[in-house]
Amino acid sequence: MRKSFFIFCLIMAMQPVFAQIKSGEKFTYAASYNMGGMMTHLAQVTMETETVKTAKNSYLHLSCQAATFSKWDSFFKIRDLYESYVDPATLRPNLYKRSIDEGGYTKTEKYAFKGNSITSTVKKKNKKETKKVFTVGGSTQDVVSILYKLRTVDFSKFTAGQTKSFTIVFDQKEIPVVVKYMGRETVSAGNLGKKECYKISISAKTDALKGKDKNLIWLTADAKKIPALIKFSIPVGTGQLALSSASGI
Amino acid sequence: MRKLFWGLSLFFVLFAIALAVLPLEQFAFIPVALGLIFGYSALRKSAPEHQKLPKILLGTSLVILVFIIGKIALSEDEVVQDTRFEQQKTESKKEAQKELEELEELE
Repeated sequence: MRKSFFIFCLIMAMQPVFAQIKSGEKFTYAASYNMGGMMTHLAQVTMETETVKTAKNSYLHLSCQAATFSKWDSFFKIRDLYESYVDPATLRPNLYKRSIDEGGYTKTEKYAFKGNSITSTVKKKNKKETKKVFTVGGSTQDVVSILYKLRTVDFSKFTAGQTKSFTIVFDQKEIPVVVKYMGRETVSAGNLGKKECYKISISAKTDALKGKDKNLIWLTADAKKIPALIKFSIPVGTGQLALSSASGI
Repeated sequence: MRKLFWGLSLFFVLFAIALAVLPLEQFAFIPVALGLIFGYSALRKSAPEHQKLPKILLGTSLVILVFIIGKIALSEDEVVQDTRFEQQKTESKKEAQKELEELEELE
């Protein structure tokens, strides 16, 4: 009896993780880039989840796609695809794939996670494919799964300024990431209307992100924790991803 | 002075046309406004027999202004159905399934 009660408690404790990241979620964002002080709509970003089954296991396929709006395609066409195949319960990645095509520059990356080791394959435009095997920590995420992992954090118990650390692997390197809870704010969340959100600042020891508290994410302050707004600051400028529609939640 | 206003108006009108044609129409308001200001100034400084060109520039500026407002109001942000990209996504998923099975076999 005690054993079954323990198992029940364990299942209940794990429930939020299962409940939050569901298969069939689809979030669509309008990506804007700051050009001369004006936010210019540039691309559509779609984040989707789907169950993928093999003979032995079941995985959660997390995909993030970016495609420029048709009016930009003739000038600077972007077709980016970021994918992560994770354990549905722990969100630990098993396979991470990145395929980018940005104005003709192409790059494909693949990370196969095996325990604490990663076998990476990278192919850049006009360059030979490179392979590398390196070790990472047991809780290292990729750039896609970290966004979903963030959604499993219970920010309702956080106080403003409180931080939480993560580790991600990007460009074949392990990078420490610190997320800081900054309080609550109400922002527009597309078809969901105005929503109260947890405002989170993300900082990482990488040249890809710039500024202090300039990379922000607003997660709806409910059980779903949907990213309603993302603001980023990169070496070439600033921009944002505003949620336009959320379905399958 | 008349020639300077005329030249500046022409420059800003051409600049506004370039921005209006590119997907940067929202940035064309400033050059259009400057084109109108300098075109009007050139018109004021011109003798009646030399007012034809400033009038053309003012008229062109107004047409561009209407075009920009129409483009902003009517054009929608949409992504075209890209069959190549869709195919790439499907293939990537199929490959991933194989790769995951290979990883499972290594366990």
